[in-house]
Amino acid sequence: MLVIRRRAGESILIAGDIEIEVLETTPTRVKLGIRAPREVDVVRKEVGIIAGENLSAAREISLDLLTPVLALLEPPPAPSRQDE
Amino acid sequence: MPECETRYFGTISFDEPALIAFPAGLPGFAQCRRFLPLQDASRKPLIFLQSLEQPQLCFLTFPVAVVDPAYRLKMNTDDLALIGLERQPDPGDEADCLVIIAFGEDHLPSANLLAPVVINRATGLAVQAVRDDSVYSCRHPLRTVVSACS
Repeated sequence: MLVIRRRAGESILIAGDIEIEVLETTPTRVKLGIRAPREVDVVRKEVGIIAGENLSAAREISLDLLTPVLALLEPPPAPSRQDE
Repeated sequence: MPECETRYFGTISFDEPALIAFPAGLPGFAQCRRFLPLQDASRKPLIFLQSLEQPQLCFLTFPVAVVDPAYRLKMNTDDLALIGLERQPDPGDEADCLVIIAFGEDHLPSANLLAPVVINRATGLAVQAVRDDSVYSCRHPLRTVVSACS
């Protein structure tokens, strides 16, 4: 992995036309500004992972696979609250 | 009454106000903005999230409380603003919170607790709120839920 040290207000360039600027740093967070051509998809890494999970969740699946789960969930669990 | 084609229930008619709208789509499905939540009496508490744009797209979901009654919702400010909320909603009160079910290669179901679907009840606006932390798994196995219930 390439490691570059930057301060707030400084930038890096990727492939000439993608600019990532460090806008602000705090002890726990870094605020970044990203300038990129419209066709470049920029998402937080976890959003990219969720996209893969959604594609997999949308695949052809058999509802029968859920039947054993549903059988055990019926009736839907209600919060157990006893009258005092 | 408008009609739509569905993946599991053929062609059905629906009430326009029942629709939920994802202003930003969902990760991986940015163009799918309108969904219809459907229930099947024999498959409660499952909620089918049927896409209006793509009849073959239907997510299987559970209300988050079914999977984890102690689930703590934490949305970032962008997601809150996207669906018109000013603060963290209480699930079941001003917002509904659903988790998407997927099947692994082992055919066992899991729930995506890392990115719940949050729906503003008042407006019908929804977002898949991907958490910034890693407190919850995107593949929470449902068999642990089943063993907790039995």
